Amino acid sequence: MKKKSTVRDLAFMAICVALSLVSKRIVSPVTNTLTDFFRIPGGSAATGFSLAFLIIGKQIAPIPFAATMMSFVQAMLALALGFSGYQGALAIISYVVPGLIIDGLALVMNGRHPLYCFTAGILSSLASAVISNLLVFHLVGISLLLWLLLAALSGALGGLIAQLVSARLLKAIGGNGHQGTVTQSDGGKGN
Amino acid sequence: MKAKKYWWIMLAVLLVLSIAVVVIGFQVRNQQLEQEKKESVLIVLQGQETVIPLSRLDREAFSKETVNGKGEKAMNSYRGIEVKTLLQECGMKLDQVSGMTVTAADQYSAEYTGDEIRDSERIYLVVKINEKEIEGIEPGQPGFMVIAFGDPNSKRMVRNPVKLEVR
Repeated sequence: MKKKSTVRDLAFMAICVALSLVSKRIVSPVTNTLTDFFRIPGGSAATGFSLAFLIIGKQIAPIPFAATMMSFVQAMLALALGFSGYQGALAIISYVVPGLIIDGLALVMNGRHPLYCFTAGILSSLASAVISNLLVFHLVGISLLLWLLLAALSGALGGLIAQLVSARLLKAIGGNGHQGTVTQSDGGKGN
Repeated sequence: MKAKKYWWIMLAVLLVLSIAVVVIGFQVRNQQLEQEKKESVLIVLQGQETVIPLSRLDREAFSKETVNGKGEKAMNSYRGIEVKTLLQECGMKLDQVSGMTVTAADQYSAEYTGDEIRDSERIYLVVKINEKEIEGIEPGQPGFMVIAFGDPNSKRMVRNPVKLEVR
């Protein structure tokens, strides 16, 4: 993991923050049809797709606490733009904790493991869902189980998307991000 | 080869999660539908069934006098909705209403005329009495009550009716 950030890293992180914030808004109407059908609150099913951009940002700019920084900026933007929903100021927690998990997992797995993006997607999405449930929804029993499963599924899909996108981006820009991202074409050697 | 292994792991996890979401999702949906059925009012509007959630009945607060079975008068505060307001919201024209039959789970029923329904502040669906929720058929479940204010007795007060048939 490199210690110093470049202007390019910061620019990528800023783009990822913006995309992460907007993607949830774009994906929500689609995921809400699913959660409405199952009669549980929407939100957890869209989070994974939003977190995908934090993982991409972390992969492109693997500086310490990159995901935490992005999630904090995202939380501030969400508060300023009124995207925080029912959580109000407490949304900072539900935004920052997934970022911390993405960073923490990068330390544990060294960000190089081929399953890093996938695992980070699932765990960060689950963390976000647990916090939202504690702060707002208070679901219990089988509804909570479904809520968490949907979060894990969207996190897994988000992680997979992050893996594919970051591998291609790193290849395209010749970046010095994390190695070892699995792609179908390169047989798992990364960039 | 190693890369393929990881892809298979990820696909397997996605598959398991998807199956779990579908199976548990349908269980939750059925449970919620059952719950919603318990917490709703079945109104038959000229042959067409309409299910209205109880939450929609908690509309206005008012205080009125009722007479109980012993002929004792009592002034209570209520939360609920006037039947004619609900019928209008359901798209019914009040001048076409000739009457309503309310049937309880034990088959006890009460009749209300079209004129009584059209009268102002007469027939109400009530969900709270003196700020206390009316208990449903099952303990702990919310319920409601049909009250005809102005009646000389409580014969037409029906608690937790299973069907309101409007003709």
